[in-house]
Amino acid sequence: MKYSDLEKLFQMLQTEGKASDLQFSDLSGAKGDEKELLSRISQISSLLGCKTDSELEALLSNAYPVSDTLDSVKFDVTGLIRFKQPIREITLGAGSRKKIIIGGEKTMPYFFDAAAPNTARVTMDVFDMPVGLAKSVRANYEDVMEDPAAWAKKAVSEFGADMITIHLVSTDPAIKDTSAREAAKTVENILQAVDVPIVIGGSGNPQKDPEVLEKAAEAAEGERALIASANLSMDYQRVGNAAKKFGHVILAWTQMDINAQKELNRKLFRQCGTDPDGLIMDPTTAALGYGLDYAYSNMERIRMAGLTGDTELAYPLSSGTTNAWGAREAWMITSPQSQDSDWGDREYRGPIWEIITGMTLALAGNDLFMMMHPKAVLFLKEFTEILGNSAPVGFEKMNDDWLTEVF
Amino acid sequence: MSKQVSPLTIYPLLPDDCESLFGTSRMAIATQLAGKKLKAGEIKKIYEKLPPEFAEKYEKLADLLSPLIREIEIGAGSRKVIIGGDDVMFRHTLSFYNKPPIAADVWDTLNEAELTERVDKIRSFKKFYVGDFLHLDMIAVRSASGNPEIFGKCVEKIIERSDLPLILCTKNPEIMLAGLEAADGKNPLMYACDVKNRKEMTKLALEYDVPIVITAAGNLDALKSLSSTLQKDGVSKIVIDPGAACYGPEFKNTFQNFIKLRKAGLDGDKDSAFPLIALPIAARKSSAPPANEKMPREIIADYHETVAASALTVRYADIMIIHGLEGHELLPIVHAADMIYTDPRTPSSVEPKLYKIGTPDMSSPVLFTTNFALTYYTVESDLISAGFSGYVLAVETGGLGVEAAAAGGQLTAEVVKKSFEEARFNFEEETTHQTLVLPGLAARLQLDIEKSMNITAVVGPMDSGRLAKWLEENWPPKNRE
Repeated sequence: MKYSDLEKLFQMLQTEGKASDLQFSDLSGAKGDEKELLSRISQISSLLGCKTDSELEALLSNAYPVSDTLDSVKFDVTGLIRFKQPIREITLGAGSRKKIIIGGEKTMPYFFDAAAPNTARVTMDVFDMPVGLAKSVRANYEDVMEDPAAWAKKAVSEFGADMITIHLVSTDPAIKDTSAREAAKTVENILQAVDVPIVIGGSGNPQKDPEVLEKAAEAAEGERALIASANLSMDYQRVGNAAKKFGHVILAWTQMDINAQKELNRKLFRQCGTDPDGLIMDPTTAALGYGLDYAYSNMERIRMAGLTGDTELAYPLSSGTTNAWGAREAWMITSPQSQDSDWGDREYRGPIWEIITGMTLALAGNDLFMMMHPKAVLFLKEFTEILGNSAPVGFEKMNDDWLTEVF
Repeated sequence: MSKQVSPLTIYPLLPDDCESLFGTSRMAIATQLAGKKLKAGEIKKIYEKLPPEFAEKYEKLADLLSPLIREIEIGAGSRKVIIGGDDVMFRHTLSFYNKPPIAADVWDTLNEAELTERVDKIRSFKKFYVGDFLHLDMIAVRSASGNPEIFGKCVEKIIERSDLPLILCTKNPEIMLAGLEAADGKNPLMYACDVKNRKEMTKLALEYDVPIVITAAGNLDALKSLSSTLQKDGVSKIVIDPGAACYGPEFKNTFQNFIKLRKAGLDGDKDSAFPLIALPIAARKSSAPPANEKMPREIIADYHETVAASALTVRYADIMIIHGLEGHELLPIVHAADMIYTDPRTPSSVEPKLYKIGTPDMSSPVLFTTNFALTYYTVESDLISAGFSGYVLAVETGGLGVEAAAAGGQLTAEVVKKSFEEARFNFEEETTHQTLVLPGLAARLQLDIEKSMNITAVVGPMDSGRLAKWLEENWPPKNRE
C-alpha cells in the first residue's frame, strides 16, 4: 500500500459523498508513516464496503477506468495553401560543362504536399590566391592553395563539389590589384581544370568588381556560369549586362532585406534585360549565433512570396554558407568566456557549424550552397538528399532500441 | 492554418478604463494581447476586481487568446518548463513560443560515480550568448536494466543531485511505476504510451497526474487513435512522438510527420493539437552507420544527432532528448533552439551611438563596430569580460555585421567619421592617445580612416573574443605619449 492509494480511496469516498463522516480530511499525517497509512486505508476501505484485501485491490485498480479498446480514427491533413506558381528552374552549365538545374519547387521546402524536382547543390570555394582560412578548413587545401586550378580539381574529384566558385579576391586594389585581364585567365584555367558549372566571384570591391566580372564573363562565354554578384551599391547594370551578353546567370545579392531584393531583381530585369531564366538570389547568410535567424526568416519570406504569386521573387536562392566560419564557435580553440563549459574539439565544431548554418537555410528554401569544409559538404548533401527524396520510404527503422541500449 | 487574433476583436472585451487600470490605452492593451506581448493570465487579477459581468468577458478573452497547440507543464519548482503553445506554421508570421527544452539522457546501469558525473555535466552546462547563458533544461532517465527497483533508485539519486525536470523513459508499466513513485510530486514526463501498454500507462498518467508521450513508430493513424482514446479516458496532458528515425532515408518520414502533425493541429484536429517530442538520441542505436575512412563512428552519430535536432527545431519540435554531451554537439543545438524561438519582431539593430562601457577615461580604448545587435552585444560583453572600460561606437549600417557592411559599402571611412562627429566625440579633446581600434574585419578601412579623421587607426583582432588578449598586448598604443 502506498500514500497515493490512500488519496485515491479518499477521493472515491468524496465522490460517493461519504467523506463528511470522516474525522480526518487531512491525509498528510499518513505520509511516510507506514502504520498510520495502513490504519487509515483500512478505515476508508471498510467505509467503501471492502471486506477483503482482494476486494480492495480490485477497487483500487478500477479507480481510473480506461477504455477497453483503442479508438480507430484515421489521421488526415490538408496541404498548404494553394500556391499560385512554382519557383523558376534555372540551368547552370552549358557548352563544355555538365548541366545542373536548381529551383522548380512547388511548395515550402521539403513539405509533404509536393516533391521538389531538383536536389540542393553545393559549390565549393576556390580562391585565386592563398587566403586566411580556419585551421580545419585549410588542412584540406594546403597542397593546392597556390594553384586555383588544382584546388578546383581537388574539390570536384575528392570532395564531391557539384560546382566550383572562383573568388577573384586578388583583384581588390587593397590586396594585390590583379588586373581584370589576369583574373580572366584564372577563370579560363578553372574552366580547363573541371567540367562542372562554375560561379565567378569578384573581390567584393564595388569599384573594381564590374570591370573584373565583365572580363571574366567574357572569358567564360557560352559556359553558363553564375556571375557573383550584382548588388545595389555598385554599378549592377554593367555586371548584369555582361552576364546577359555572354550567356550567364546573374546572382542578385542583397543584404537581408526582402524589399531590396525585389528592387534589385526588378532593376536587373528592366534595366539589363536579364532573362526570366537567368537570375538567382543571394539574400545574405549570417552564421548560426550571429543572425542566422534573420537570414532564415528573410529567406522563408522570400520563398513564400515567390510561391504565392510575386513573380519577381519566384527565383532559386543561394547562400554563402561559408560565412559560418566567421563565428568564433567554428574556429576558436577554446571559449573566450571563462564561465563557458568546454567547447570541445574545434576540428569537429567547425564543420558542424557550417552544416547547421546550411541546413537551417535549406529548410527556408535555399537551393545552392557555397561551402568550404569537405565534411560539411558531405553531411549537408546527405541530409538534403534524404529530405528531397521523392520516393516513398518505409518506417522499418523507427524502432525504439535507443530506449534500452547502453551506448 | 494559423491563428492570429485582431486587436479589434479583443477591444470590446476590455474594460473602458484601461488608462487607470493598466496605465495605458485600451487599444494599446488590445494590441499587446493580440501580439502576445501580454498574456491573458497576466491581467486576470485585474478582471477579478471588476464587476461580475467581466468574468464572462475574461473567459471569452482567455479562450480567444489560448494557443492552438496545447501548452503543457513539465517538472515542478523554479526549473519547470512549459512546452507547446504555438499558433503558426512560419515564425515570421508571428513568433514561435516556448523555446523547446533540451533533455540529455542518463541510464540506470551507470554506476553511482558515472551517474553523478553525467548529471553534473548536464546541469552545469552553459554557453554564454549576448548577455546571458544557454543551458540544458531536463534529464531523461532510461531503463537499461529492465528492473523497476534499479530504475526507481536511479531516479531518486538524480533528484537528490539536480532539480531539472525529468523524462522517465520506459515502455514497461512496472518500471514506469517505480520511476513515478521515486519522482512523486516532481511532475515528470512519461515516455511512453503505445498501443500495447496503453491501459496501464493511461492509468499511471491519471493516477500521478503527469504528462505523457504517445508513440507509434511514426504511424499517424495509430497516434491519432491513441490521442483520441487517452483524451476520452481523461488524459489531457499529451505529448506526441512523431517518429524517431534520425538518419537514413527514414528521416524524411520523421521530418514530414512533424510537419503533418503541426499542420493538422493548427487546422483544428484536436487529437494532433499537442506538443511534439523529437528524439535525436535515436541516431545512436546499435544499427547506426559504422565509421568510415573520414570519421569515427561516434562523431558520425554526433553529427546525425545534431542535424536532426536542429532541423526538427526549425520544424516544430517542442521538446527533445539528446545523448551527446560534447561541445561540438551541444553548442549548435542550444544555439539553434535559441535562434528559432527568438521573437522575429525583436529589432536586429541597436541605436547607432557612442556607448560607454564601464567607466572610461582619457586613456581608455576607443573602438567601433556596427549597430547590428548581435555584433554590438558581442563586442560589448567581450570588452566587459576582458575587464576593460572603453568607448564603443555602434555605426549605423542598417543592421549589418562588420564583414557584410565593409563588403557592401555601408561601412566606410566617411561613415565612421560622420558617426563620431554626430556622437560629438573629439579624439583630440577626449583621449590621450588619438587612436581608434578597428575591427579586424574592417582592416581595409585603416588608411582611409587615418587620412580622413587625422588619427591613428590600429587594426584590432578579427574576432572581439580576442580583444582581451589583444588589448593586453597592444594597449596603451605604442609610440604615443
